Formats: sequence, structure tokens, C-alpha cells
Amino acid sequence: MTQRSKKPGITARKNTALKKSIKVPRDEIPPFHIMDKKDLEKELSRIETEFGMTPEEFHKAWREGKVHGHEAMKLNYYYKFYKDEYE
Amino acid sequence: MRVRDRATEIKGIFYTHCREIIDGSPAFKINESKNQKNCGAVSEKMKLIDGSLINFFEIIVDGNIHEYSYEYVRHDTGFFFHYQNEGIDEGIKKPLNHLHVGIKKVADKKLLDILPDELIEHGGPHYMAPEMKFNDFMGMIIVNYFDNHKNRNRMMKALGLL
Repeated sequence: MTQRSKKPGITARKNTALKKSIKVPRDEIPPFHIMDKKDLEKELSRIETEFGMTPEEFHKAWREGKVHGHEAMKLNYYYKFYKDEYE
Repeated sequence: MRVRDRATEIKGIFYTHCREIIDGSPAFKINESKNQKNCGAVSEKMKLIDGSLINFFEIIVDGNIHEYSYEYVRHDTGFFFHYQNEGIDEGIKKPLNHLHVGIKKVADKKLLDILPDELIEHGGPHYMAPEMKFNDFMGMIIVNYFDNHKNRNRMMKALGLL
């Protein structure tokens, strides 16, 4: 039976603790890109072109197991993140 | 651990250990929740020197890797393997940690025409898999596609796999 939580990304399973960080050289490494509201909106706009659905339809399709894959997983997360953080 | 600490860790794997096989300088995208401490996501699409691609995505919850998606795609054939935990556990039908293997839908049409549906992107089973660590995933790529690279052993050692 599928187990999902209302909290984004939360499921009933044991968490995997992160191990100790690896040392990273400071030079030659570009800074992180911290995604803001506009970045998320840009990502969400891809749903229409890549899956031919509105974000709401896409989220429903994800929950019903009708869309799959790396991009679908990522876009569904962005959808939930946007709702949680900006609405 | 904070989301950006995990992103730093992943960047470390690439820039410290696997720099020789990366094409370009991936920056890594981060989402950090303002409402929940140590929750967010890290993502990046990385091109390797032979043209193949790594799609990386992790969801961090309370400082732990809660869900992940590690996909490797060969540009020349469309072959891919994809280890994933989407936070969905449907038992044997769709194990929490699972693997997809097959050919991408964007591959050569003549090839797609002769392949059975289950070999085409996400048409096959969700193969039960161990919980995948990113180090192991990178190691699999190195031994299978960069086995003759001059720094092969150094990369494997740095990843803790030799």
C-alpha cells in the first residue's frame, strides 16, 4: 500500500543520516545557485511544455503514478515546495 | 546537517575526486525551506567528458537524505540506469529503493521501434535495489565507462571504493 505524508517528502521509513562532509577545495568551484521564487516559477513553467498539463494536473498525475522519471520527481517537489513556501 | 552542507559534500565528490571526467563546472542548485529547518533539495545536471549525463536530485528532510534520484544517461545509445527513492513504498510492485534500466524515449526511432515496451524508459519493472549511495553510483559509472582513465584508481580510492 502506498504510504505518503501530507508533509512534502515525508514517508514512513528510517532516515539515512548524512556522513561526515568531504573537504572541498575553495578555488575553481562556482558558488551554489540558491533557487528563489522566480527560479521555481521558471521550473514550474516547464510542466506545461514537457508534460502538457497544468501544474495542478501534473501534481495529481504524479500522485496517481501516471507520470514518472527524474524530471517528474523534481518538478513535483518544486510544485510542493512552491506551495509550502510562497502560497 | 544543512541542505548546503550536503550540496558542499556532493560538490566535493565531483570537484575533488572526479574533476577529470566532468565537462564544465556544475554549480548545483539548492532549495532551502524557510519554514522547516534543514529541509530542501539539491539538484544538478552534469555532463561528463564522453558526452554522457548524470542527473542528480536529493530531497533533504531534517538533515537527512530522504528521497533521491540518480540517473545516468548515455547520449550515444539512449541507454540509462536510474536509482530512485521517491518516498513511495508499494512493496514488491514499487519498492522504496528501486532501479530503472532501459532506453530513453529520445533514442533513435529505428531502435525504439524494435524494442519491447518494457525496455523503453519506465516501461519495465521497478527493480528492487539497495539504498543507493551517491559514491557507489559514481563508482559504477567509473568502472563501467571510465575504466581505462588514467585516474581511475585514484577516483575509486577517493570515493572509498578501492
